[in-house]
Amino acid sequence: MKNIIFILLFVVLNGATCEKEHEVIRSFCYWKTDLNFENQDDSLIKDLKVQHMYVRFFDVDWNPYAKEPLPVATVRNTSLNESNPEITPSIFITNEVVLQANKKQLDSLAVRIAKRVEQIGVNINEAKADKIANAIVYPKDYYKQENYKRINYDSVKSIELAKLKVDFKEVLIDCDWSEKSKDNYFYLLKQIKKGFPNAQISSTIRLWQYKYASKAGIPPVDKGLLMCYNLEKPDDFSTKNSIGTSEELAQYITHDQYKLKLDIALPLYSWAVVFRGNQFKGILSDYDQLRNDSIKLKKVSNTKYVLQDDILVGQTYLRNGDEIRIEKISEEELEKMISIVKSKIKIDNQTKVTFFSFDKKYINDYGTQNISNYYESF
Amino acid sequence: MEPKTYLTIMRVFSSLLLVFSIQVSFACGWSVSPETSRLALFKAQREGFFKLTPFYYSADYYYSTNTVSGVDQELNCLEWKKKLGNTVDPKDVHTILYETDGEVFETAYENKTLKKAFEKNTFIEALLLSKNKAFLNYILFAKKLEYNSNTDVKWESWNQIGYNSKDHKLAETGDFEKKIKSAKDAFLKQRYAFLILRYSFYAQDKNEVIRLYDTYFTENKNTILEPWALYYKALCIEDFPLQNYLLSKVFATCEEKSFAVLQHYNWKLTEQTLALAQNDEERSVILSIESFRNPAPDLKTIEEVYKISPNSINLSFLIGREINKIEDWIFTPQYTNDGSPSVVFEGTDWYGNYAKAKKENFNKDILYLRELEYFLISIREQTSGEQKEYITAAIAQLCFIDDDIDSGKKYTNMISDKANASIQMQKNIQLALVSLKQDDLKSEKIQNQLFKYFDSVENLVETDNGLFKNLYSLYRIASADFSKQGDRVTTGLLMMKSDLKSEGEYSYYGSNPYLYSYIGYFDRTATVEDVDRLIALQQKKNKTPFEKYICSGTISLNINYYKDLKGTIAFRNNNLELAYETFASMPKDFWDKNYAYKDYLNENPFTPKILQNDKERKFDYHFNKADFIAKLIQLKKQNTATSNLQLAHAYFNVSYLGNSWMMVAYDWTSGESYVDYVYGDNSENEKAYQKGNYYSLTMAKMYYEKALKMSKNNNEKAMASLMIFECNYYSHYANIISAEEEARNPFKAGQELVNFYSVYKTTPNFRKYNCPLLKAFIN
Repeated sequence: MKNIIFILLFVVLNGATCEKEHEVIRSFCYWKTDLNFENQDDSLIKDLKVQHMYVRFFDVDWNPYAKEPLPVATVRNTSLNESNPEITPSIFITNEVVLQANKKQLDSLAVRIAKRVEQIGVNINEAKADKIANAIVYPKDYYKQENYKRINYDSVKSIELAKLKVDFKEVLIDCDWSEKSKDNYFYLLKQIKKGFPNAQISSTIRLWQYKYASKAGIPPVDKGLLMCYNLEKPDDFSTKNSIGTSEELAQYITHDQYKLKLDIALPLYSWAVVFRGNQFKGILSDYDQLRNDSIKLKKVSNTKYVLQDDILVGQTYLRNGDEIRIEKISEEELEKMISIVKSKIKIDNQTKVTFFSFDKKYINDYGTQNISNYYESF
Repeated sequence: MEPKTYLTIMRVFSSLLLVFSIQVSFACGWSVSPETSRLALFKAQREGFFKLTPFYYSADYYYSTNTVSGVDQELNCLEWKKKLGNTVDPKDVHTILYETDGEVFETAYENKTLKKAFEKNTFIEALLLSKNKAFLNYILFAKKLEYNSNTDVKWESWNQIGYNSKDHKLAETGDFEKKIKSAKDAFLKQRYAFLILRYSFYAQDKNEVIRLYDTYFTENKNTILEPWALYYKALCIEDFPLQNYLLSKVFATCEEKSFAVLQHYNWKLTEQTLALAQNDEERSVILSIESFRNPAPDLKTIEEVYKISPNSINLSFLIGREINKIEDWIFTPQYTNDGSPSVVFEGTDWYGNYAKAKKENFNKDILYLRELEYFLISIREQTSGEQKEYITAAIAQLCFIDDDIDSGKKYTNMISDKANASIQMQKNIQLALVSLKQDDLKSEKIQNQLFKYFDSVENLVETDNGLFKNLYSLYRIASADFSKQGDRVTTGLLMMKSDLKSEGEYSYYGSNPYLYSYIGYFDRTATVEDVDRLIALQQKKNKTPFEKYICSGTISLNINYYKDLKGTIAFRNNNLELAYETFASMPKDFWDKNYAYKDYLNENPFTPKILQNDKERKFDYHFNKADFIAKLIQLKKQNTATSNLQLAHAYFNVSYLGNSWMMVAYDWTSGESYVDYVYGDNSENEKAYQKGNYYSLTMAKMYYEKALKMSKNNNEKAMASLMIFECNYYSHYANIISAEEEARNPFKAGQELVNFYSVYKTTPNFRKYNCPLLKAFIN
């Protein structure tokens, strides 16, 4: 009997440790209004071997005066510099839009979204064509070449542009739909699908929509992107951890019965909050440089620093002795979250694992090696 | 082989050119604005000063401030409360009127979610009552109207991507008159009239502005809207004295428009404007406005204003301004390197005979100071309350500027404990001055008391960034007083503290502090004993509050920065043993990892840089200061011709002409760094390094001469002779810059060069280094 138990245990353990890990598609979310990559961004993409990016193209909100959905915060400057990840256009639609719009407006919204995505796609290609044309017309050290002859830039660019097609494989729709807006939203998704005959349509799935799938419904799309975090406002200090915890995640990912193929989005960001005594003084969004200054800032623990000097940051006068706490999901927490996800959700080589969001500040904060490890641990 | 020496000589000439060019770059290199370098200690305030903030004395057009008055807005909120009932909290009115984006309000209204969007807002609750519908409609109209002047909304159009794709419906501006007429409530009527008046002003409909004001505001003036409306009307009046008069009335009755009034006020019409005034109060306002931007002595206006309005806020403010002027004229030259006040007048002959002009101006300013002081003393007894406290503080401040500490102390002590917080703060600054001038600054008790005074000002900086200037000034003066008592460590730390305060914010994001910013001040003043004291202070566990305070932000946590300085000073003083001991106590890789050592201490210090051409220089020498000094000590002990020649090469290389000048100096020549700018040019100190070796190669020459004398080897003698010539040559030109000086005292090559070309002409060193240019020095 003892032997049988031992053998069983061995099988279980062995099964657990030898479970095949997958080469997931390495992805990031880019959610800023300005998409203008610099060399530093290129190196991060290269170091992390990022293959894919969800890029927020624009938001759609309900305009109460015109009483129709209108686009807002469209992405500006669409240049990815030397990087060339596969892009999934992402559109955030407020729940208000889905609640207020009638069928006719949803029809026209779907058409407008398709058109706008195409236009932004053209803009991205324009930036690419510019880059290529520049390299052709002005090769390296061209001014040193005696026989340098300049070719017409515009014609080179138009030839290059013609070679590039707007050809997105997937379009992501992000909406925190409610039970009340479900029918309208799902109708809209079907209409959007018609506008992209050659692309897959995916929809973000928030944690509550996953847990209460029967209430929230399963959107009629090709794929879902499960958002494994719950973002609160950083200035709300009644919240213990505004980004979310593994404990919280476990309370939502309770089953493995979701009837849609899922990609995974994980949080990757942090901020610094300043306290004097126990009193909140302000938020430092750019604390990188401050943190590296071992002279003005004394590290007292992994996440806490104490100011050794008075400084004025913006309108906040920080004094010697103020405490700066870095709030982020710890590396351990993130690993726990990954194992919770893996335990309930099917992962394969086609699964995209994406981090919210792409910013060198957050990436440097976690370190590229750690992030690579997260991808690998799927 | 000939071209090599030619190249060498050319290199030296070009390095001389570099020296000149650095001097030029010093002249137009680092600088801070006059407003930044200006000293001011007087910042006592009376209640009501707030609206006058932009008119504090300044080297800029207006004094810059981080805060603006919200008094008018608060009055408007109170009017709404009065209208809608006591359940309305004025703070809630403020939230809606001044902190809520029109977009947000409109959206909530259109979506019928006002109550939810502005939860627990008593103003919204009142507006949503059916009896208040007209008021809600007014607020909605006002919010919509904001878009007509600012169309920057979040909405974009589906047809366009990129700029100019904004999409928002503007407010209906068709039938204004109907809106006013249909408003049944006088309160609303006046408010609609104001909105439309302002709209008409921006639409340049001057007659309509005047008509609306005359129709709706001349009768009922009991609202903050009246001075706001009057401001727009005044700007539509073409008769300038009348415009001035109306603007002065706006100035007197509201806070928000005070800065705008000063910007639009027409100068040089004093008499005509005064002629329109109805009473003394109005006259005093006009006189004050005229004086608020006067950068010259203006006691005359102060006297006039005193006669007609002795207790007015404007009078106090003008007195404070006058004191700030005197502080600038007297303190700024005294405590800054620049040496001139931040505000100088046209026609002042600063360059003709600067020293003379400076002295004359100082005497003139002191006389003026006393004139103002006597006037204030003469009126002090007639004033009362806050005005009296303020004037007492002002008199005390003038005594301190005049270095009359006893009288200053007397008046400071007259300031009562009941004086307002700002006057108390001024009192603390003045008590600090008394202590700095009269007490034993070495006493721990005194130092801690000083810290309390400093800290009382620091604690107010958060609400008034303008106080950075007071701290900057106070620390400068404190630094000078500690200097008088010979405490160079505290002097330096206070000087650094002052510099940190000078921009009102630390240059934190611009430049990270590095080694030289911590030791730069001490580099030019400290002895090795001072550095020992500095090290002891840095390492002291239980610092006193004063010590803790002066060390915060000024002292580096890296003790090796100070050891490096100590060793360097010891080396400059030719104390090789102490230099060795100090450098040897530091981590071996310190010079690989810190400052610019890796870029400048990377060549063999025993091969004279001047004899190498660019291709021969390697830059791969692993330099360790301790090892270098140890080698010098060893060579000195050996005392042979060869060892002296090596020593001579080493001393040549640690001069500014050599490849290891960073053994002795932190800057190649003074004037390159920000530190030089703040703490002054360091050239005179540099000239004295190692008995003048840094610029004049004195020690190098001494060892070359020794080697020449002791050597039996002709090749060595040739090298020594050649290098003695080089030392003579550079020493000569280190001090002579102009052609006239050169004509009076031409360079003469000595016997060494003659010998090089005769006695030693067969040596390998001669064959390697001789050249026609060199030979030309032998006549």
